[in-house]
Amino acid sequence: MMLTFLIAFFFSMISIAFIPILRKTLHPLEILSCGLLMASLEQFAYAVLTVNLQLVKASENPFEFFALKLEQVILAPIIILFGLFVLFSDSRRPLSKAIALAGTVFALWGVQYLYDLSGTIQFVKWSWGYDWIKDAALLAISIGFLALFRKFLRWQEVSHDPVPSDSL
Amino acid sequence: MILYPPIHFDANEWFILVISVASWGIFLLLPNRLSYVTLFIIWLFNGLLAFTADFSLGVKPFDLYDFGDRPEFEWFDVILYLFTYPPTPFFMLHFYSKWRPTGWRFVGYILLFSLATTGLEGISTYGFHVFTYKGWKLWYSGPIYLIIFSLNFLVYHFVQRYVPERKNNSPFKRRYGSAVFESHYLNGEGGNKSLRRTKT
Repeated sequence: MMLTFLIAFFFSMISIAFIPILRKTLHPLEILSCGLLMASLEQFAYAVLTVNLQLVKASENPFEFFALKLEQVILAPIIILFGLFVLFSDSRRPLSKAIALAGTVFALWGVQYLYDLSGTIQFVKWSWGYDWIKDAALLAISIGFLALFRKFLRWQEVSHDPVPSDSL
Repeated sequence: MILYPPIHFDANEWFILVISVASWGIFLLLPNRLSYVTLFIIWLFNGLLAFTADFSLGVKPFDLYDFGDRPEFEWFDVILYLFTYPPTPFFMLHFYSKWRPTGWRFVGYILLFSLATTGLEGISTYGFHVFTYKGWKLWYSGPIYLIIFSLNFLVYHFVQRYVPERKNNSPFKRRYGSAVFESHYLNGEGGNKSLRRTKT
């Protein structure tokens, strides 16, 4: 039980350490706002699935609960941001972008699968297919949001990132 | 059901609606000091804090309080997160950008807002039953608001690195347009140094 939390904590710290790489493609305010939105939506989706619809049953152990929180607040948003990082990159080809998007959904699904294996969550009337659809929907929302937010930043004449991307 | 409607449309729902409309109304009447980008990110940030706090402390294994009429999530909980909570940090940052308190005045400023928000939570809980405590105590909220407002300051200063304050909301710019504003403020004919530094 404690081990699940420690593993989630370890991977969360590693994913946070990789955030500066995102600045090669994304503006820091885009990273911040998209991360905030995704963390909110992940938690909202989880709360609706467990409390209101009772399609997923979560462990009542506090350590496992915090392990799940780390996934919703840190791991999943950063995985999605890495998908966006590739998608919004100018230098990538369409095929590699498509592969990156599929990889993002697969990574999100993989994390859920590991939580299921460890017994942190149990599907009651929920299936892996639905989980794929949920992850793909979150990714689609993040893409739409980032495209709109980028226009919003341009409209507001927000200054460019003062850190040159080639220094990262 | 994905989100439940309230069981009875009574005091707690009216409280959420009246406070939301009143606080947004007063905030919109104040002169613009914060850019739209700052406001949007602060709004998102406080939405996340509300989701995180209530979906952590208000559900099992802790389940320290309920909000609204039932233990499940309702439509009014979402209104609470997105429209009732955010105006308080908006007010705090608005007056902070106006008065610029430093040192002990800054500490007092955050403490004052934390106390006021705790007081408002007390009124909403004991007067209007917006929250039902099941192990939570009102005084626990004071330090939590202190942390929340401090985090808001961190986010505000992070955003201000890229969005100069009042850049888009200056009365001068509104009156004479963007081009005149930039030639006046950014090309050395006046204005503050921070704007010029950001442009270069």
